Amino acid sequence: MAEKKICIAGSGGQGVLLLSKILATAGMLDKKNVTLISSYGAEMRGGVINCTVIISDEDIGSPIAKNPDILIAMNNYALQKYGPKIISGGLLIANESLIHDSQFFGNNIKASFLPATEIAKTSSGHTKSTNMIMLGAFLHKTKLLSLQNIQESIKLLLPAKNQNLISLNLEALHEGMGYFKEEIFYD
Amino acid sequence: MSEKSKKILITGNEAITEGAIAAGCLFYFGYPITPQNEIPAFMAKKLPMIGGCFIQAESEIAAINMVYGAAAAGVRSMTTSSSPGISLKQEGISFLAGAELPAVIVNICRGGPGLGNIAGSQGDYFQATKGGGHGDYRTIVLGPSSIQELYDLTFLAFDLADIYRTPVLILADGVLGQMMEPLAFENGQKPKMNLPEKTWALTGAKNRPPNIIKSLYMGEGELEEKNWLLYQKYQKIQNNEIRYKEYHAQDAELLLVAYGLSARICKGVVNKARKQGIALGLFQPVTLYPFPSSALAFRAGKIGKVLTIEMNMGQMVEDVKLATGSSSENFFYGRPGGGIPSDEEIFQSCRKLL
Repeated sequence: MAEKKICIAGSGGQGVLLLSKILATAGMLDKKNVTLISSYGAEMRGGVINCTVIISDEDIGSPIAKNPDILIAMNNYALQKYGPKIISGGLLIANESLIHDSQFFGNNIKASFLPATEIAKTSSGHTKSTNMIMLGAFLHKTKLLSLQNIQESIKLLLPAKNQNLISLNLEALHEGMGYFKEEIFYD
Repeated sequence: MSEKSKKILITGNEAITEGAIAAGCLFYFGYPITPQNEIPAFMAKKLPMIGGCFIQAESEIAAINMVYGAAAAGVRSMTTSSSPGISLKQEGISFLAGAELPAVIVNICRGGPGLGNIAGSQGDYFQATKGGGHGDYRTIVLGPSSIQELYDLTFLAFDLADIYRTPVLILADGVLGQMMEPLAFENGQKPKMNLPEKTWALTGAKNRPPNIIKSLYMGEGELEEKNWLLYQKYQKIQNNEIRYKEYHAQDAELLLVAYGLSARICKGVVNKARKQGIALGLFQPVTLYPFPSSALAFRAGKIGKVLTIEMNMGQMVEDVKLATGSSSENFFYGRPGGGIPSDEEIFQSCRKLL
C-alpha cells in the first residue's frame, strides 16, 4: 500500500483525537506502519483541532503532512482551513450537518458529504457519536483498513467496563458505513 | 519487528517513561513544561505502583538536585524538561558530572531562545553536546528519531550512566514527544548490560569506610588530577560508545546528515528520491556526544558531497565540518526554532546540489 496521509479536523470535543487513534491503532493491527500527530498545547477550547495519521507499508518519514491525501472534516471551519490543502486526486469526507459553505476548491477532489451530526442524533439520540459516523463513511469510501481491526481498535480504546458505550459506537460506525447522501466530483 | 512482539500505539513521551521503568528507574523528579508534560504525568501514575517515588519539585533546579541526591544513594533516577527548563538544570548537570553521578536527563526540545514556543526544535544541540553548564565536562547525548528509539535509548541511557558514572542526556523534540507510533515491547525484556557494583554510593557506612560524593577539590593538585580522570573517562566513552545509522549511504551521490526528527524526515526524502532514480543517502548520528566523526569522515570522503539538515540555523554542522575536513563539499539546510521542514523543502534543496 502506498503511503496515505489522512488529516482529521474539527473542533475540540468532536472526538477528533479518538477517531485518529482508532485509525492509527487499526493500521497498526493491520500490520502497517503508522504515525499520529495532533495539534497540541496552544489550542483554545472550541478552537480547531487537527490530527494527521499516516499509514504506509514503508517506513514513515515526517509525521507531519502539508498536503493530505484524505481530509475528514468535522465542521465548516475544518473544511475551509484544510480543504484547500488536499492533494489533487485526493478525497474529502465532510460532515454536511455543520457545513454551510462548500465552494472553496477547484482541485480534482473526490468529495463525499454526509450529515453525520444528524445521523448520530437520529440513531442514538445525541451527537457524540458523530465521529464514528464519519469513521464509517471513511472506511466505506477508502477500504484502507479492515473492518475487523477498526472494531477491535474501538474496543481497545474505549473503557472496557462500559460495554454499552462500545456497542453504541459500533452501531454508529455501521450507520456511517451504510450512508451516502451525495457524491460530488470537482474537475 | 518480529511477529511475536507486543505492539502498542504510544506517544514519544510515554515511550520514554516505559523505557525508564523497564530500565529500573525508581525516582523521578520534574517540573511541568510543554511539550513534555506527559512524562511527569505518566511517572506520577506509574512509579508509586512499583514502589518508586515521584515528586513534582518546586522548580527545575530543585528537580535536578533531587536527582543528584537519589543518584548519590545509588538509585536509578531521572528528570525531564523542555529547553527553558533544561537551561535551569545546567548547574545541577555540571555538579553531577563533577561528582561522577549516573543520571538520565531528557530534553524534549522546543523553540527558543527564551520561552520561544512549544513547537519541536533542535536549537539545543550546542547546549547538549558542548557542555551547557560550567567546567570541562561532557555528557553522553543520545538523539532518538522514532518512538521505538525513544524507548530503546532511554533504556540504554540508564546503563551507560551507570557504566561510566556520568549524566546521560536524551535530546528529542516536541514533535517526537507528542507523536504516536507503535512500540514493540520485546526489547524491554533484554537484560541490562554487565553493570559495575555501586560501591561508591551513600548507602550507610556500616562495616565499611564512609564514601564521599563531592565536586569540590581544594587540595594542591587535586582538581587537576580529578579532571585528568574525567578526561580519561571521556576518551573511553569516545572509543567505545559511538553509535550511528546509515541508510542507502553506500552508493549515494549526496549524503544527508541529520539526527532526531530531521533524520526521520530525511529518511522519507531518501525514499522519495530513490523512487525517482536520485541517489541520496543518509548518515544519522545516534550518539551526538560522542559524535561519530570517523565513520562520517569515511562515508563523506567517498561521496564527496554532504548536506547537513537541522531544525536550527547550523549547530551540528560544525561537528560535521570538523569531522569531514576538506574531504567533502559541505552544505547546510536549516529551519530556525519554531519551524519544521517538510520533506518537499529538503528534497528541493537536495536537487539544487545535484
